Amino acid sequence: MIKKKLTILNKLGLHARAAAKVVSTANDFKSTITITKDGKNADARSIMKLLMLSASKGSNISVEVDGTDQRDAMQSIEKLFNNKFDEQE
Amino acid sequence: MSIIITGDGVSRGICIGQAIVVYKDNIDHAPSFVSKNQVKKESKKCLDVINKLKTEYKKSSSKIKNNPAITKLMNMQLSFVDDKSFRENVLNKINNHQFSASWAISSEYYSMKKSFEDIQDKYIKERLIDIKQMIISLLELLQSRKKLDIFSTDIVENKIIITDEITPKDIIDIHHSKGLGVITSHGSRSSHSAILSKSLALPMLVKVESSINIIKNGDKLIMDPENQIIIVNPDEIELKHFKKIQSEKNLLIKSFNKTTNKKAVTKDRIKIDVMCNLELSEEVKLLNDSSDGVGLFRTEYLYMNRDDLPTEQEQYQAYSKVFKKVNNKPVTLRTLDIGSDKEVSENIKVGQIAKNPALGLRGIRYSLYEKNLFKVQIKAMLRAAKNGKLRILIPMITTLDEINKAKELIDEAKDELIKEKKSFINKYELGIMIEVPASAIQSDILSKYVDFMSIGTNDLVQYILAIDRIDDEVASLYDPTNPAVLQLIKQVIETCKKTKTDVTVCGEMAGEKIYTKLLLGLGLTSFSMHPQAIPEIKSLIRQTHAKALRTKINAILKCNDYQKRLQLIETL
Repeated sequence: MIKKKLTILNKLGLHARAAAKVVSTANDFKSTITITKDGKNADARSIMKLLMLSASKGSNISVEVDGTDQRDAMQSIEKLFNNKFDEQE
Repeated sequence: MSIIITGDGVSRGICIGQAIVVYKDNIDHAPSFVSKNQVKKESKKCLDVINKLKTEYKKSSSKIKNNPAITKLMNMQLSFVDDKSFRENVLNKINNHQFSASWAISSEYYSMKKSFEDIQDKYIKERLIDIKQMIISLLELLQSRKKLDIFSTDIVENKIIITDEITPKDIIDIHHSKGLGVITSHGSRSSHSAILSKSLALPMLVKVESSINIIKNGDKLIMDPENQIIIVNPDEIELKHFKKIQSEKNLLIKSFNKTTNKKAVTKDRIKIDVMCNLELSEEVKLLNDSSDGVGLFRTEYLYMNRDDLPTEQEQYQAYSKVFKKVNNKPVTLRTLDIGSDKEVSENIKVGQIAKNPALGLRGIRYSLYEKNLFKVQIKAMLRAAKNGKLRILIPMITTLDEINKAKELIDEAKDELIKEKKSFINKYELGIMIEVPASAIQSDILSKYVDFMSIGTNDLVQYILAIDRIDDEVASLYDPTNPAVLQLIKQVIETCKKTKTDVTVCGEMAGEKIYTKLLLGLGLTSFSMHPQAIPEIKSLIRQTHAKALRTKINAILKCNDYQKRLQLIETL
């Protein structure tokens, strides 16, 4: 299992379209991916749970990945967050 | 004890009957469970509807090509339905707690709703609306036989339907299933559902906001749309009173009907043309000798509630029906006018969903964009007319350029018909809708290029006053008697008289008796209205001395006080 702390960088935060991207990225891997914010957990494969984290710009989250392809999965998730979910701002 | 509630009356006629409550917001409020041996079946049912909705979303998103915005939106909706934790939670509720499928889905919605209420971010919070939409669609699929098609079953026969929103298709279904009347908590008097209910003589009241809380299934109701009231569980005295009025009204209608085949001539010997508006070719049944022809056949409904487009042959058959019925009288066929408040179905959708469809790609604008669709329609019209009097009416004309382009396309359609060796009528009259203020102001110029003009008051009023007639917040500001509106209508009528161009009013105003004298006073000599209104309006015309109204009309045009103006109009 690997764990990493990340910050939400994009202007709109983890909104619906961004969350949909997290889901589709998570679906590419076998590992379980859990995102935590303020003690609330969300399965990265559930858009509704991700939305309910209500993670706005600047919020700190932690990503926990567990499985055979955990290294690649973490790398992809991290890239997505750091690229502001491919959004302009 | 009886309760009286009010709303906006649409079509006339008192009706007395039992209420049947059919809300579209179908989320369960009370828990329901299934027995242990049904759990398996119930969870399968639940998975089935989730998969069905997924397929539906995929299907509709594949229909829209080259539109990344909509594709993205549909993909998001798809990921809601596909949500892993949603599915797990719902199935858990069924498998381990014996919830019924609909209660499992509904209660999952409630818990999500609670979580979303704590969210500060407004943008994320709003996604609950999308989730609710999905929940409603899932429940609709789950109850498809029970609720979705209820309007086309005999359950609504002889009942008064209480609902939140109603579509034009619902109205047609209710008409066929012999429903007595319709009461909605939302909507507007000039929506297309309302227009349809009027022409089908289906009594309806809209914007009855308290209907949700007050009317229960099975309640006895008296509805009187003309007086804007509904009496819930009336007592004996009220029942007796309304039954008496009902029978008197029927007598009155009979007496109007007796004289309805006589010509409409005012007391000062002015012959007024009274034509009818049609929406569906099925309405041809309502046509009789009382009208001077078809003043407006809205062709939109041929295109709606379907995936494909109506072929030339299908349209030819629909139009032929109308020509056959009216014999030698003029038939005005309006080319496709989509957009605005009409629900646009997938088959005729272009581009993005407009933010402001009333100002978007509709009427002739759409036809010049989808030229082939326009030509197919024109070909069907020219073929159907045979020896009849065909009048082609073009909606949403704003500039002369659009008229010229429409003429070119009609000529192209003729050439194609010649090549295809199909017989058609060469002679037709070309007319334009006056509904955009620009064309009303320019009517003197435009009249040189067309044979007739038709004033569509519904849209004209909307555009002059900048009022969206289906927006509940501002619908009350929609006023066809605003002096600016009346001034412009008067100007168009006078211009047409000078240039010897036929001019008709075909909007809602033409069929409402409070405006009949007003329009006669403005100089109008041709009306087109839903068939139900013809007998009464004709009898009103016969009692009117048109020229004597002139001075009173000037006072109305100068009156800027709404209440006073209304009073002046009522006492004309």
